[in-house]
Amino acid sequence: MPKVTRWFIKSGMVYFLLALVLAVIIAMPRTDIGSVGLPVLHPVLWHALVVGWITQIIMGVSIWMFPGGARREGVDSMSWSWLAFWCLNTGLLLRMGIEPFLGTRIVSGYLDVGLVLSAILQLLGGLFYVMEIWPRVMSKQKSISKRRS
Amino acid sequence: MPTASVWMIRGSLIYLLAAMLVGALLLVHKAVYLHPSVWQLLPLHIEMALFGWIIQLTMGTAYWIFPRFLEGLPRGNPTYIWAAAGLFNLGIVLNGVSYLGLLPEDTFLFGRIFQVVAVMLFVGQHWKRVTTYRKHR
Repeated sequence: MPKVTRWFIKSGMVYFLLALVLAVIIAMPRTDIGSVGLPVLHPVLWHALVVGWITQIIMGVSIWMFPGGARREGVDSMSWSWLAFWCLNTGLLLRMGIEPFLGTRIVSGYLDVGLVLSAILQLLGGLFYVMEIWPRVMSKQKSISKRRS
Repeated sequence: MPTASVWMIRGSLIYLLAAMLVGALLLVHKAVYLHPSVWQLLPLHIEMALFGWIIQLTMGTAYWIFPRFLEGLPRGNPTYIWAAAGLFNLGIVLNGVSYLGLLPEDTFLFGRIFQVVAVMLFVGQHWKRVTTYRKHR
């Protein structure tokens, strides 16, 4: 299992745990939490689950298992995968840190810039992953002829 | 990798990018007001992320990787997976278009029916492939 896959899967597991902790927090009676507006945690919960956990597991495992992967480990030979990992996770963490405080308008200018940055980073993460995996989604005949050449 | 899987997985990658693009638009709209109709894209974002990306990728990979039949066609009749893939994607497109209000609301029901038929075809084709080779030794 390549290093980048291990990072995708382990960080995915952390998001999984975090998502379920958030689910518990959301399920708690509002009075126990204080003034935090719990509905704002819903998008954070769903994105931790769907992007942080499911999508990252798919990305990590496909980079490992799909045919035509890099034989050598290292940042040079797996640069698209590493870029995908860092962009996706930085973007997602930014979102999770900022989104619950959007309504409060604390230093709102910085929060807005952070949220836009988060959107761009997550999109780039997806794009870099597709650049890694797209050429590796191929028929067996193509895979064999590519290996021979 | 069989051709049907190649098409399904590549289709799912396109849906991933489309879902992320719409998601980015929604997120930016939270920070910088873009247009009042941006929020109408939310169900489309969810449909593309869950059905187009995650579920379709799972179906395409399962067709490729599950144990193959030892006799006859290794993955069964390929017509079924092509029909499943076609109906499933037709369902996503119909749902997406009806979310955008470009088709009557009833279209959504047809979209979901197409997806149910697609999943029935998929399950029917793969049920017997969920097996072990050990009993054949």
